[in-house]
Amino acid sequence: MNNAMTDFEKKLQQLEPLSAPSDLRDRILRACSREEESNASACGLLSWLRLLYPGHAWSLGFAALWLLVLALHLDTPERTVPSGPTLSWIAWKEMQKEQILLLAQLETPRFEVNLQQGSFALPKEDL
Amino acid sequence: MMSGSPILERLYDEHADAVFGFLLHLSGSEADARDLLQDVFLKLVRKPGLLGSVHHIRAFLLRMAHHAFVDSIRRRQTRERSALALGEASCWFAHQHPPGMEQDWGPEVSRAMTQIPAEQRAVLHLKLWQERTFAEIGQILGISTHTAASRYRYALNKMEALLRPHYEQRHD
Repeated sequence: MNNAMTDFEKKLQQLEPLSAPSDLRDRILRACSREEESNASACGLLSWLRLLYPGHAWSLGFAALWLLVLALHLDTPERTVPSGPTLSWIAWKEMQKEQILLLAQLETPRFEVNLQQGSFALPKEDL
Repeated sequence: MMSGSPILERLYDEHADAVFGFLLHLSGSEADARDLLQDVFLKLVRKPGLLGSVHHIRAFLLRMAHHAFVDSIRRRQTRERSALALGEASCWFAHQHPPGMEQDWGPEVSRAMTQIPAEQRAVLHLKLWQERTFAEIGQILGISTHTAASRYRYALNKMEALLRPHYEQRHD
């Protein structure tokens, strides 16, 4: 390729492109300054976050530890509720009778309760 | 690199005019060139390591400016068409009387530049007014040296055809 410039190219080259307007310098440098400040505050926040986040290796270690704890917890047999002394059938019936009596008294004192039969009934005048 | 505003100020003072001229010729709009120049400098602030290992800062800034322009065109494609298709370009050059010319022909050259595509304007600007080699232009614009050279030839031929009446008349 012929690198020698033609007369036409030289004439074009003599034109001087417009410079940046004078007011633009302040505007851009001010915008850059604001951007630097916001970057600095963002960096401050990041440094706090970094304190909480110790790093990938540590985080992976913690995650593994938690998994281990979880696995151990799942493997532990469920604790059974210790059973109390067993009630005999007779004692249980007695307790049921008492319960019926107490409930009947709470509902209405006018019930006639037959402790022998373990039952209760409404008074005759209510029937 | 970008730890303080004095560095930015120095960068601006040394390179802003060249980058602005490039952006003005690319975008065809002073308002867009202003915004894009600001985008370039804000990017330098946001990514302080960008210039860390750069040897040719001017070339790097021109490359950043080109990227900013391409991004802006992608964002709002109609803007360039509306600004340039009408041929309402204001003068993109400082008013002057070149030797051998009776009048300032900057406005005619500006209008003629609106008639060529942006990628050819970019090569034309970098070759004529930044005095870059085609290899450097290729690096700045991310194209091959051959493509840069051929775009320049296309642009120059078109400009010559458009400006011949003015040029011959004034040169005589």
